[in-house]
Amino acid sequence: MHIRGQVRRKARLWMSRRVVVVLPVMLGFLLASSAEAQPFYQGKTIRLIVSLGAGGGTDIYGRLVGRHWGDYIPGKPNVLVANMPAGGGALAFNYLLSQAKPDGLTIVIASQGVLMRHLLRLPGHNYELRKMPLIAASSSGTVHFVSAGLGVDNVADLLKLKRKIKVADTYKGSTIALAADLMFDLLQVNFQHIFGYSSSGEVRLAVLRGEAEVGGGDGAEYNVSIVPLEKKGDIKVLFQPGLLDREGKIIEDPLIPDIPTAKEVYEEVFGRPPSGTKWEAMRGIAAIQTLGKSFWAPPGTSPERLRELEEGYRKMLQSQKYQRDAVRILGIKDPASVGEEAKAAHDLFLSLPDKIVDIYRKFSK
Amino acid sequence: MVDAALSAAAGIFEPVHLLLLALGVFMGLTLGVIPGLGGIVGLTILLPFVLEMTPHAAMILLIGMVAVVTSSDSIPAVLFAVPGTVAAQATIMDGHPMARKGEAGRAFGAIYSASMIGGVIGALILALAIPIMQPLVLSVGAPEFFMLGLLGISMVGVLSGRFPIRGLMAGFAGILLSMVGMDPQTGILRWTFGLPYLWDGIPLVPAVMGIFGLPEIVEMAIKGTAISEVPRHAIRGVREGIRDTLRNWGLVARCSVVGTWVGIIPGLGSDVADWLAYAHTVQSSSGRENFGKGDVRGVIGPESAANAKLGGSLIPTIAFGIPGSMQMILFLGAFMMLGLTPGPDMLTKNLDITFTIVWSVAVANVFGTILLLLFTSQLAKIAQVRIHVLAPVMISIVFLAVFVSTNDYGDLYTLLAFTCLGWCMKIGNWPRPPLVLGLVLGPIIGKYLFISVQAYEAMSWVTRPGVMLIMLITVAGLLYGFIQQGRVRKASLT
Repeated sequence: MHIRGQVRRKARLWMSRRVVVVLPVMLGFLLASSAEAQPFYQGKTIRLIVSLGAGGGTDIYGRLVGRHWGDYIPGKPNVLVANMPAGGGALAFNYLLSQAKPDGLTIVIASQGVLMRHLLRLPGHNYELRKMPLIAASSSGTVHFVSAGLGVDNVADLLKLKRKIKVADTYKGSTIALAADLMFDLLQVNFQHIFGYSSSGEVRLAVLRGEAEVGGGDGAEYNVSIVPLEKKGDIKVLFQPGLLDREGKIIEDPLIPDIPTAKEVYEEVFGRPPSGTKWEAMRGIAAIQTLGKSFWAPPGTSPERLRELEEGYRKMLQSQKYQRDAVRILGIKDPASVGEEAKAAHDLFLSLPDKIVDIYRKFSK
Repeated sequence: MVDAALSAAAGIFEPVHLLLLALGVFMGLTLGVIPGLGGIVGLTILLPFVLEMTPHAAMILLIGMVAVVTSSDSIPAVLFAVPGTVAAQATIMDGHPMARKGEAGRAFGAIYSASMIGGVIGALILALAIPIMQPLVLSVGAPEFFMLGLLGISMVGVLSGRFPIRGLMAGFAGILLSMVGMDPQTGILRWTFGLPYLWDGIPLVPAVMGIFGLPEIVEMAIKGTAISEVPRHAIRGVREGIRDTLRNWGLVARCSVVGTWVGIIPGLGSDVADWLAYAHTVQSSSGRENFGKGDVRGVIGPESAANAKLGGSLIPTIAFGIPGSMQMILFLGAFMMLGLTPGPDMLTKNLDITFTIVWSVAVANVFGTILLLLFTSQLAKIAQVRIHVLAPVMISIVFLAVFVSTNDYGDLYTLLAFTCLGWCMKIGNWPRPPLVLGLVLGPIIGKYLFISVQAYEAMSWVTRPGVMLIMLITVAGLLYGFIQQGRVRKASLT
């Protein structure tokens, strides 16, 4: 009995000292390892909302990214793509602003058309875009061509034709139509703009048929649909508005090589660099096209989440697997820029003064 | 060219390819039956898998799926008056009354055989068009599209049954409703009342489901019987339906051609093919009294056209990469993913792939029909189930179907609004097809008229050969209709 009591006392002492030392250390390990083993995105699902309808260019791009992005974000989250096409983007962005939680799990993809509608403050598009962080942007430059029947080799030749030329586009106020409007206005070309074609494919057909003389297309379809026509001699590619680089200078879209930019064409025709409000409006179009298909997060999303998303996107762009998929689906490698790289275009877009917006409005009505 | 055709045919019957075809067909049939789902959903799901396949295998799978959607979409149309896809709308007109009379089996028999033959004819026309594909597409321009839109509208009278004036008014109402949204010519927003929801106009799927589907379900629920108001032993069989189709082979052929043509023209959807074929059927048939009450010819025509349309819509897609519909847009995506370039290559270097496509359309249609026939007797039994069990299920499915692709509550409101409209028209005996026709054709007529006037010198486009031809057909159709009416009236007077 005496011995049992002694053993018990010793055991209790032994236990208490050990517990005091060991327990916190164990807890410390536990906490540290759980912090490392549990990245925020583990086991979570990111909702990637496409602000346009299924099957369109933005949707296809969004689904392409959706298939790969998760693999390059720590925690390998699931990425679920959904469509919210109502209002040409209004529904998706208003949703992002008012209902989506800024937890890094909801992202909206916009197309140039959506950005233009926001710029013009069309009904429903009053959301504060400047509060929303831009994660990445895949540029979407456009290019303009004429039917070979016109017999012109470059824009200067176009000016020599004294008559009105017919320009075909899908709808009034689209960025590609605005680019044509501004360009021909700047160059003082006599033109008539015909709208109503359902797609850029139909516009191409119209030019081939002789129904129209000038048409446009975008960088994604350039190699696949436009270059072959030029090789056959059916059309002649004239110019591209161009994109903005990091410093805000106008450069060629890497997907549309060797085609003069609006700036170069102007300089060639008039012998001096372009300037003035209308030219600034043209630069605005270049900015919007540089933003192309853009990814936005709700305001207030934490910088950590943004960083993880941006880094993930950057790694995805560098991966061979992704680019192979991109070439197969889009016909081209994805030229996207991430976060800060698109800053110049982003800033220019957000700071476009009212008088330039008025010019867009004028050409959209 | 013949050897390319033969080698492609041999290619399809390889075991792996047959398996893929079967898979595609199965998927397509399922998607067609469920309202709101269709070829587009299937293509979106299959597209990523296509990456891992050879072009031949990919085409077989995708085409197999898309080709049969318009066969099975008539099942809910016949049984519940809810179209599985918009391509089955016109089938409701006579298909559903047939189900009410207990002739669901006969309807199905006629539909499947008509669909199959239509699909095969569409494939045949596609094959025949291969040498002339490019000039064919180039010769049809905005003026011809406008004229075709007018031709479509001229059918309104035919679709109005006994109430031509009401039909005309409904047609105009449809055209008015189609004006809602942004006008592409001027960028002006018409009748959107500040709602971004209405920018793209009134969405077609909820409108059609509302006008045709729900009012019928409501009526059946009110009456409280099963779909088939005739007792079980009076159900006529599938074989009778097949015989009907074969008896009307001329109609099948003509409507298939109509469907193929609608497919060639970008922008005209499969619902237009349906209605044009139905109108043509009514116009060209002797003994019109039974249309709308369960005349089997009323399902044969539209179903042939709907399936033939695929062959037609592949023509501009393959020849120029111009997609004529959402489905074709996704198809083009598949082309690019496989490294195929639409255009001359498809007709020379890759001719075997083009022929694989042609054969896939044909074989998939046959295969799909066989599968459907096997299951038809079970399906016809659904017509016997009590409506109080079916109605809640169907109504839920319709609402879900409308919501699933856009996630937009506005679509549900549209559905409700058009259900009320459809119901009022139904009990007031105002014909509904002209309204839908107006809704669908309105934008086409407006768009292409404006383009024609702007792109061509004033009215010089009117004298284009294509335009004149279509105008002749339109006038001929109208005249024929008047003469027929005159004869009927004379006959009823004597």
